[in-house]
Amino acid sequence: MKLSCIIPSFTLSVDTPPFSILSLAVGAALMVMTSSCEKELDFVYNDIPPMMVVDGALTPDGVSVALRCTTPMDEPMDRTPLTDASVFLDDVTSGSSVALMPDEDGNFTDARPGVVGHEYRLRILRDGGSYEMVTPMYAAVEIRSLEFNWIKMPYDNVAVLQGKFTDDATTDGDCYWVRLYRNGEIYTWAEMDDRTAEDGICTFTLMTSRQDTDEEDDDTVLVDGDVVTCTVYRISRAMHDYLEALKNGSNGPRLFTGGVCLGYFMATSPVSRSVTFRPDEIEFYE
Amino acid sequence: MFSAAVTASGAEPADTLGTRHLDEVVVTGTSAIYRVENPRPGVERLELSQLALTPAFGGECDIIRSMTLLPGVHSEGDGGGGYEVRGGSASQNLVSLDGITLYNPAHVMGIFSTFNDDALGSAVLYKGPEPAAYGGATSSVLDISLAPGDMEQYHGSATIGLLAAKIKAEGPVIRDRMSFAVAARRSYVDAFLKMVPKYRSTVMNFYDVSARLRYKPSAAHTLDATFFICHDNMAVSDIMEMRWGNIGASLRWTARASDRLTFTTTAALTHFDPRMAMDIMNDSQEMTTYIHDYALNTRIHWSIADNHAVEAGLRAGLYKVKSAEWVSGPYLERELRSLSTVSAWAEYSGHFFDRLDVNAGVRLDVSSSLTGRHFHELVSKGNGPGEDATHSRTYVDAEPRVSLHYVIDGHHGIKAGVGRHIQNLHAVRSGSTSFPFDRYALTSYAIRPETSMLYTAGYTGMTSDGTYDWSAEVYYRDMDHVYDFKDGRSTFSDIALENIILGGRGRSCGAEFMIRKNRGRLTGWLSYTLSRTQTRIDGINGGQWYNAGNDRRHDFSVTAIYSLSDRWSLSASWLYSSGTPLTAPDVKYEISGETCYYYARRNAYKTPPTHRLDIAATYTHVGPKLTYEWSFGLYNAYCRYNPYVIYFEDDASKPSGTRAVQLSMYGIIPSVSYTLKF
Repeated sequence: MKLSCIIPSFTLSVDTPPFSILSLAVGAALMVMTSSCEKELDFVYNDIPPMMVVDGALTPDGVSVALRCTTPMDEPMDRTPLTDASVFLDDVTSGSSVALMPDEDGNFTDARPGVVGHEYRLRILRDGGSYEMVTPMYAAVEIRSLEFNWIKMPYDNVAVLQGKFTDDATTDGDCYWVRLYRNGEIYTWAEMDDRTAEDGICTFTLMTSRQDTDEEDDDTVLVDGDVVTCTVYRISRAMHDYLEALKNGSNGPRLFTGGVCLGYFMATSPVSRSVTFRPDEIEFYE
Repeated sequence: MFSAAVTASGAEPADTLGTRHLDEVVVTGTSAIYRVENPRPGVERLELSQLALTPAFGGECDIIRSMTLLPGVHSEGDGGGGYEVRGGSASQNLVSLDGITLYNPAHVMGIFSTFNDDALGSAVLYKGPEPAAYGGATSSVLDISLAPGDMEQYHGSATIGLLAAKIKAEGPVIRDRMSFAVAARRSYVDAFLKMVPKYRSTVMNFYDVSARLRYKPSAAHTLDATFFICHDNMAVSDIMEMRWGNIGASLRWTARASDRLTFTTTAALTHFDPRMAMDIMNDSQEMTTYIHDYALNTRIHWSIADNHAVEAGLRAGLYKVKSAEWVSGPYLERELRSLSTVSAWAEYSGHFFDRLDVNAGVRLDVSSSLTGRHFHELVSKGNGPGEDATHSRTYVDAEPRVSLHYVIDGHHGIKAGVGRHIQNLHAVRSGSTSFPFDRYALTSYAIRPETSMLYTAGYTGMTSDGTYDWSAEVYYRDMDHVYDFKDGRSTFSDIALENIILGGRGRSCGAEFMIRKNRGRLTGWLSYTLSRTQTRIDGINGGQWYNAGNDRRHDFSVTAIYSLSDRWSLSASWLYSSGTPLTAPDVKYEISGETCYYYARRNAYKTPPTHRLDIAATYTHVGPKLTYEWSFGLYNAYCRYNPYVIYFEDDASKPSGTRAVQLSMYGIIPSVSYTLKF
């Protein structure tokens, strides 16, 4: 069982980088104490009306906005795109505006790149409702290193991935979203800010796979040869708080004004770096 | 003054003062007459001799765990070391050991309490209106005293069990003048862990030591010095460490000026110092918190006449609370708060017409947040809580408390009471149970003292010979300035607590029923509590009332102790608790390929109910000089997996792609221990 999957759901969750590794201490202790008694519950969920979800990103490669609806917990995830909306991207700084059109996947897109430092507004009109979110476009960071170590935990050795990237030392309170992909599929993520940055370098630490792969879930185990890609996005404080809330088993602040909808719109310049998982070559951290 | 042992015979003087002078009380057995005649509603004197016979987790008798068999008291759940009383949370209970206030008194994240039963002399739980002498707790007071050492003879005992070993020694230092009693316990779970290769570098241990020194320079004067330390340590080599514990001491001088006038002065201090640290790949992080509590308390008891008495007192205290300090390399954030408190109180106790007991008192509290350099510090990398937070503020609160008891006849009585209580230390928890690393907020400019108004009424009765007694009580509690995290915020969100918590109201009502069998080979009790606890905080659940995290609709327990012979004693207890509120997702959605959940309301669901059967057998051999005892137990005898954590995760094998998973803490746990006494 992968610890990072458990911690966000624990009521004792403290998985909030920059104190992520302290949360590992709590999680490790809890894991020892609950290691043998797990069962699935037949859970009956409440019915609530569906809500619109916005998954929007403006990058140097253009903008893509996916609109979907929430899915009842006891039904398969509904990924059907909502295309019956009017979506606009306004460059607040320059005063320009563009209407986004749905592509063949149902995502509202435009290839024009975002400009770092400009402020952008995403406007969505759908079913009589209006939704807006404004965010500045952030510059890219530089990933300096990405390294696995085996760390001795009370229950097993765990492959811990540590990454370092540059932080804008001229500003405080910078926020980041670190996403980890396994062979191109999302594996785990964490939000963080620059409180613990040292000499302009932010460090993140994420637990991945146990060494005893028989004890690891199939969907979280890393095997020899897996390509692990780390992508770092600089994000706004509001979005950081939204992501933090998701980790803490909550909804977080509403990022869109107007009607009620979930999700976010970010304008950022993601950077990525990959490493191949070679368990026999990973050093033990002493 | 109430200072005699109470027996089931009923040959007890009129108890006009309840159970305030506890140091001299030696619990000798079940006492129906005590329960019927005690003028205060909601008082439970814990019978330690019975406690030793009830089933115990891992063979470790645990006063806190046993208390949860009483009506109106329930545990926080598996893995929670605290107990909750009448809709209050664990942090709203005052746990006092000879005047030393203890915080989070639990070992191994709540598996055991920190009290070594061998060391205890008496314990009283006040669920109803507290005597005016007590303050600082809006829910209940548990007043525990260590047993003083024997002034004439040496005694000792040693117990070895599966999880821990303990020893006790007592005897005279100066015969008839000075005695000592010391008890110590140490776990050796880590010794077993070292036998398992993958746990070899894991450290998991605890210890506690309690000691009491009594000096009687004359018949009129008694000096008691108490020392207590408990410590837990969980670690993996040099990579991770979690440790926490209380260290406390008190010095009490009791002076009897005359048969009717007694002065008692107590100085006490407590340091509760959790620390958590991790060092991975040269990235080290550390969190420390502390509660430092200093108090000087003096009280005068004046017995005006046989049926009328007055007590008055004065207490000065200082809290220093570091809600958190986070360190990582050059990064540092810290929040330190201090509060001074001065309390004056007076209480009258009277007995009228052979039928009516009255306790009426008031406590006046003055608390001031301190802002000097040594008392207040906020080192923050984020947005501070605002300039107001650095200002001092003084609160003055009155806490009136009244209890009435009407004796219908010698075997039946009705009681009623009302009491206001305030508390200046607010635990803000990320989870549903106490945790050593919870953050604590002190009353400040922005955070107001928590208040509780309790109304209670009840009936007690017994059979003429005391074989059976029973009680029924109802209560309503109204709480104000109850604090909780804002949605989405948790321990590490912000060093400035004011930025991430919200204050609101709480209310709880309930009915408690109990029946006991006190005599014969089979003794025991049955208790049932029906209750409801709700919270309303602007900013959470739309400002509407919602079920509090400690809401528990039904609590039922039955405890039986059967004396098979002079040597064998059997016992069993069965507990049932309905589910506790749970915040669970209502719908799911996907962003950037990751499943996310939406929670329409906090605490809108319930966990599955909890139930458990514990059984125990004790063999006691009493010899002329040595007594030995074998104790065998099965905790959770039918291996019920009760909920500890419930979480939701993707599962591709399910048609919905999602499953709810329950983690439990315990399966069936056998125990055996051997005790030798001399």
